[in-house]
Amino acid sequence: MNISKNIRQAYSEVDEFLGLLDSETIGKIPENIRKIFKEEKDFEYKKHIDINKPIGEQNLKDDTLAIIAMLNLKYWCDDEAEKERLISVYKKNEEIYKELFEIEFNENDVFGKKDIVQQNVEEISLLTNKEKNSGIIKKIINKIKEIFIKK
Amino acid sequence: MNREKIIEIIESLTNDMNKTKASEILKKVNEKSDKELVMFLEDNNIKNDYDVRMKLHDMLYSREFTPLNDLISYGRSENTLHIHVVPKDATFLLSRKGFAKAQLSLVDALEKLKEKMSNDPNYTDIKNIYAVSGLIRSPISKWFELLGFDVKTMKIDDAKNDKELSWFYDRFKQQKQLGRAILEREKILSDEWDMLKNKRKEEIEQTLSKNKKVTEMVEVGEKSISMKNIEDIEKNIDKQIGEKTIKKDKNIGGE
Repeated sequence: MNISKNIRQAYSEVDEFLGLLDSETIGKIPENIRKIFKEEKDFEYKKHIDINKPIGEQNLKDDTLAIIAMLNLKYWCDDEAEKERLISVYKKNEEIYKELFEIEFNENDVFGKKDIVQQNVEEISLLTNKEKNSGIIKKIINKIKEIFIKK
Repeated sequence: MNREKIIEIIESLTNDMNKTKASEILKKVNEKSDKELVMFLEDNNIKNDYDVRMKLHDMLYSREFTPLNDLISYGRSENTLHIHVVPKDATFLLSRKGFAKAQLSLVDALEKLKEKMSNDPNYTDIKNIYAVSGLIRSPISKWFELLGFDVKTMKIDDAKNDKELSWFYDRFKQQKQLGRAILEREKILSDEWDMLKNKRKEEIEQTLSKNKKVTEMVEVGEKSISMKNIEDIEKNIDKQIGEKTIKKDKNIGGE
């Protein structure tokens, strides 16, 4: 199976992050999964996660966050109510993504028209007018910029 | 939370000492209509299994032991203070709290007992703090050792013939292992014990602060991760594990 560079780099970040945790927490993850992170990671890529710095400021990859979210749901979180809350947050995020991508971006109109891009960005900000969703907004804005730059 | 679950929890917490109280509670639960039961849970801020267990624990065990914190209670028999992890529910509570926090609860309980032994005239004749449990086995026995306890653990079959632990055999015969931990008065009241306890507390707090990073990471993820991201990642990892296993099997087959 081909593993993308992005995923390999996420494995590097996860492997480094697990190294910061205590053995009881790490021990809850099955060995074959830990092995995947260890053996399939990008050995050239070093993130240097700083334990004293807020995680939000360390620009970790979305795939890293998704892997940690998965490990938390499956192996770390013992609290059923908290698990349910997290699943509903992740499902809500998925709905927001779908909703945002359903907004019609007529590429022919967007290309070359900065004001339309700006207008769409504003619409998105209104739609998800919550600090909580700033990560999603960032992702969408980057996506729009990508389309814009392509042209 | 429903009636069946509450009844199941009451039954799991019932023992010979509290069976009358337990049957009174069971009767009250069964007398309530579904609507009344929901209202009762709401009024008492009971949202999940854990809340029900804690509430029932207070009702069913309060006469036997004095709680020191949410995990540990104590009783007295002559010159000994015996400490207990919430009976019957110990495993549930430990997994819920996590080992690091549970160890802090043990330290906290001992600090409180030390305070009593130092200042309360009713405790001047206390000679030691004693714990006996099927839980005092590796790795939990280490928690006690690191806090200055003298620890003895053995297989339950060996406990049957042990001079000291045979007393407890009948009570713990369902367990695989049995252990006891003793902390002498002289030791817990010493300055050295304070140093030992503070060092241990620092180590546990370091572990907790490392684990806070998991919570922080999950919180950051909440802003952008979708269920699909998680499911895709999980599928990919499963696939990679599958491929590795096939590769390994082929290699073994080829050897």
